[in-house]
Amino acid sequence: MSHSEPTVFVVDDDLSVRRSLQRLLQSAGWTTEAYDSAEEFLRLRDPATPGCVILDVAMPGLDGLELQQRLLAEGMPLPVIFLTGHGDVSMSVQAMRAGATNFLCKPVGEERLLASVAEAVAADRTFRSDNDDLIAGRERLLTLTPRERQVLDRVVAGRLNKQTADELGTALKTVKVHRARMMHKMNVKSLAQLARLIERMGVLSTH
Amino acid sequence: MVVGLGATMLCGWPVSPQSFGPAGPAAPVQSLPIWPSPGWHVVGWLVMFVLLAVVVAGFALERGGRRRAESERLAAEQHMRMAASAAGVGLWMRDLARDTSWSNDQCRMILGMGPGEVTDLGKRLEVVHPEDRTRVAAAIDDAIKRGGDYSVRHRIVLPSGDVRWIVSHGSVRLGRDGKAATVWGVTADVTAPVRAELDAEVNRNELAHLSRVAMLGQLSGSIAHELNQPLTAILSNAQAALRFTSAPTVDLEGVREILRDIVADDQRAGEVIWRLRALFERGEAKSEPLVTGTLVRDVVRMLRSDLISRNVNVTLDLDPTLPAIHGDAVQLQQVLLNLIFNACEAMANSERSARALLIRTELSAPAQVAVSVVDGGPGIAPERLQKIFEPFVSSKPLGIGLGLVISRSIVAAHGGRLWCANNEVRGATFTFTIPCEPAPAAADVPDRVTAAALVATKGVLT
Repeated sequence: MSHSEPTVFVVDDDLSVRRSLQRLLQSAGWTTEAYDSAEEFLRLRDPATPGCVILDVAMPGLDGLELQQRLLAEGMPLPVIFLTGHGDVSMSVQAMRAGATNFLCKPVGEERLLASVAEAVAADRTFRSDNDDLIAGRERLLTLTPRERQVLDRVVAGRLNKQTADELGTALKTVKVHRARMMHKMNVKSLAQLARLIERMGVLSTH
Repeated sequence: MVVGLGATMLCGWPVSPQSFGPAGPAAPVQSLPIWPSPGWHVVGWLVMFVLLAVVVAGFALERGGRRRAESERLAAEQHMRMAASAAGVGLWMRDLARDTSWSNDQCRMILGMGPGEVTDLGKRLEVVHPEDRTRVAAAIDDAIKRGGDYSVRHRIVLPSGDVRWIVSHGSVRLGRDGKAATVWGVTADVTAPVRAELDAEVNRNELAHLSRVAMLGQLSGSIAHELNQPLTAILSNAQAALRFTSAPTVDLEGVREILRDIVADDQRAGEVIWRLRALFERGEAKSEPLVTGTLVRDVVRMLRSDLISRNVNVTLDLDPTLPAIHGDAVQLQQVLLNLIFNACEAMANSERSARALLIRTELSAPAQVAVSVVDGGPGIAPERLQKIFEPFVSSKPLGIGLGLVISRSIVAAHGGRLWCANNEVRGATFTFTIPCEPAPAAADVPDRVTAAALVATKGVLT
């Protein structure tokens, strides 16, 4: 929902690496913020700021993989680009499984880095706009009356209006009215759109 | 002889034979004429003669004794000369007041001098190897000042150009005025044992080098990381600068700043390579003044990323006031690397909170710097505690079991000790000591022989 500029967060304990990455990103037009430890990043960053994070895998204290876990746990997972000194296969598998956008080996050339950043920021944008839809969907869900909600559950489950009317013990006409109101309140035009929204909200809620 | 003499002398006395025996019935036994007044004279004379005889005999005896002592002294001297010559030991004496000296043939032979040549101090110091001259002169001066003994092992250069090792012990004798008057001493050629010792040191250095090379595998991760950091920074900076300079308006100050950073990072990468090369270079052990804290910090910096990836939390407790130690930085770093690697291995299965490594440096009396590596592992099993410094004893699946053996021999070559003990709470502590300044007086410690000296002895370098 935030409309602030996408920012590339650079988290590396090495000052000169941090500075050089920031410069390169700035030269490509990105807004950057740098942190010298995972703890500092978690403490000081604004979760509403979109973008991505470039993380050094091996840092004293909280390391890159742990930071990734923390971000996931917060429910607002910023796309993570891992930087590593030595391509540790098991570590990269672990990171990618946890949703890392990329796993790059130092020293990394600008093409790969900037392409990864662009990809990660785009993914974040999509995620955030999807997320905005979901948040809106949730809010809309709360405006439904209990009866409308019952109708929704049955529609999504694939019941026919007739079946729904029988199950709820009401007239078919009433069900049709509830269904129309529900579709309007949920701001969806088709059954397929509603089903997709409910499914995604379900995915999100089980997360 | 005394009695005989007395009897003869008796003849001159005015006594008649009658005086000695009963001449007639009228002569009573009680009135023996011999013992009245003249009898005391006889006794007096007798006593005098006896004394005289004793004195004469005494003189004679004494003269005999003196002759015997003289011959004994000559024999002893001869024995000593024989022993000295058989042992190849040179004897000498220096008169400080007159600045003259005496030495035996053996001494002159050791110093490469002719039979008649004078061996005064100046001449003697000329023979000393230029690199050892100051040290030798200082030891002699110090002994004279103290009025004590000195012992120096040093090189000499013979007129032929040959370099030999000699050891000289000198003892300062004080004159009546309490000032140093003479120096007596012995000098021996110890080239053979010193060379053997140096050869052993070369072997130790070779072994130490091989084990450092074997360490390369363990270090590779850290090295790659240490090189990657500056390389990453250089690449990103250079590419950023290229982009900035292709902009319509160039921020020259910004570009200059980038270039300065590139230079600094390049130097940083160079240092990593330099440290690495130093670590894996083979060569003789050096003896240079070292700061213990710097050694520890350099090693920890080298292992930084390895320690991070092992989740080992390092604490340094370094005493900044420690006096300098003398030794070979690379070899001592090798000892530290070995102890730190061992500590990390020991903690590999420990709880993350227990993976704490403490490295402490402190002064340990007398004139020793102690370096301790404390780990938070399970400690050393009692049955292994005894054997841990034996060769081919390793707890690691891939270990050869030479790390601690080599570490101990390196520390011993520096005049120190390496030992270990289990901690009270958990883990083990390995401690080594290295002698530090202020160094004890030269006479108290045998001079440490360096392999650099060997090179010089063999004439490779000089």
